[in-house]
Amino acid sequence: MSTRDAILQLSARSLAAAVHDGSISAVDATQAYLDRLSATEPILHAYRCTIPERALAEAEAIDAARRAGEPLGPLAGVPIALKDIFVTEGVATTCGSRILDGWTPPYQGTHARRGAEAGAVLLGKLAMDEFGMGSSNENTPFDPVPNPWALDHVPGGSSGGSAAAVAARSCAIGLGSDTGGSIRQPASLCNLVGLKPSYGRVSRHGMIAFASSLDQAGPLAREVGDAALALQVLAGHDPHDATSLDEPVPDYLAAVDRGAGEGLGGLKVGVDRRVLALEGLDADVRERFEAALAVLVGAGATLCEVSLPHFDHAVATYYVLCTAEASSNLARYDGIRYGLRRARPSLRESYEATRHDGFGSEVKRRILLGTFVLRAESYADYYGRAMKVRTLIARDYAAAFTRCDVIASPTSPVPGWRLGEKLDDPLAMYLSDVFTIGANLAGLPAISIPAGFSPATELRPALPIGLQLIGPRLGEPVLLRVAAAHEAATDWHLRAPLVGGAG
Amino acid sequence: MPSDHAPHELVDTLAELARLELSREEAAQLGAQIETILGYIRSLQTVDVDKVPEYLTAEQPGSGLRPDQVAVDESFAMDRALAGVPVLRGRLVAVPKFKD
Repeated sequence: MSTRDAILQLSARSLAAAVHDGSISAVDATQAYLDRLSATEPILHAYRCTIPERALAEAEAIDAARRAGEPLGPLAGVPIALKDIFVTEGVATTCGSRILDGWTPPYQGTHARRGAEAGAVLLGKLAMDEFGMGSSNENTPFDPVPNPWALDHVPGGSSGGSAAAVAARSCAIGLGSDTGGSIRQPASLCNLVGLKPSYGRVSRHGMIAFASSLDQAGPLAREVGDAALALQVLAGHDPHDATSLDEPVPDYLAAVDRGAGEGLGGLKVGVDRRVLALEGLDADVRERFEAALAVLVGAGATLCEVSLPHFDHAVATYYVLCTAEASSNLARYDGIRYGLRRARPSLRESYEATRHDGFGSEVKRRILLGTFVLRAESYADYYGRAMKVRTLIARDYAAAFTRCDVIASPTSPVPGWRLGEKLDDPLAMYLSDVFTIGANLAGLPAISIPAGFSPATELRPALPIGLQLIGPRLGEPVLLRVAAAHEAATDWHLRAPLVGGAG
Repeated sequence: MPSDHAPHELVDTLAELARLELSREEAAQLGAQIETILGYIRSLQTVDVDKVPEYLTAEQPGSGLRPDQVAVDESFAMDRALAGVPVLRGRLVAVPKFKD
């Protein structure tokens, strides 16, 4: 095995340790990933842009700091990439939209800043559904991203570029954002760990807003320990975000080591069997879900029945609230202060033409829906009612967590689907979020972890399937503990797709 | 709660409110899709929300508002902020005519 391949096979956590002890240089690590993405990018288009010279300069600075005996950050020399929703000073940021094509942010967002302070090397920005609106990475004016496991299938979305890049080993950790499942669902479809923290755990400063009461940033990674390491760096109060929580950040890696080392004795995993009767739940997903539960029981956990009576209303509630917030948040794209501008004789015509040319169909659909539910004459029956149902959904979870430590479900009701299959049916696309939306509505942390593959048949290739765990508010440590115990008892996370030659 | 407009009228009204120009084809397609989605969303009318308050984001001790003082971020220079403006007139943001 070449040095390059050996570097690519290391977890981010192991790579950071190797950079710290000097056995691998940050420059060699960065060059290995840059070589890798040169091989995979012509196939995947997972990156919106790459910044190889800047990345190598950052890596050289880390190696110089080590030689000088200076302390290194926890992600020193680890090549990462950010979903293009994260603002990066001096590096183009499009949010997957033509309306921001060519915009270079004048400030650094908190995520890029904390990553850099921790010593991570930024390789570039990752493709996504426009403004985070989508579950397949196809809602984009740019190249769609295929699933590295099956190139005629979607990688999931909206953090599809992040998932494809991490799965293909073209970055060690990818940062994503999750408004209704946009970290967890692509992680599930690409055999990765995807962690959405509790609302407020990670700053939203510099994460371009889609639905502000639901949006959270979090990592996509190959292993649970890598996700914990990234969360350790990202979590914590940020004076630039009034919704960021000023609460202590626990030791997430300790929670991982505890799960891997001690198992799950005394831990209760809640399951609402009723939601598994959902129409459209794929038989292979169901089979892998039951197998994953058996792994957790084998690690010492006990299962208990919980009830989420308003589960069936989560998707409708979500699509009222997220469209309302989106229509308001996206009002700022008017072509005046930044981004695309279409010149017309009057201000109003200029707004309308700019937004017509700048936004894609899904964004227009959601702006129009959000405008509808916020109108004075429909507010009480739509937005106001959905906010009340959101209270009921949050209460359901609070009641369930009096009986159990985590709640398990599939992440996605289906494995990845073929590119183009659901493009003309937005409602079908929305329903694929059924298991992930509840955690966003209730502000809870949730994680998707690799749980195996569907068997290859004449109808479809073998495709990854994920297990979702939802925790109580600020329960990231218990999620990581359970996820690490599952990982220690399985080897799904060690499998890599063959795209672009062996990684 | 069916809407009281024909789909294309509704979508035209919404597009006007949202300052969004739509082609006839877009309006027809989006109008039909929005009707389908609103039909699904109307399932919420069956939920008993009597005496249920609207959701409040979880309480956030120690977080929230900063002191009501002007904050100057030295790193965010005006020149850099203006660098992304599509059309400038000197150091002012240029806009099309908006009143007669």
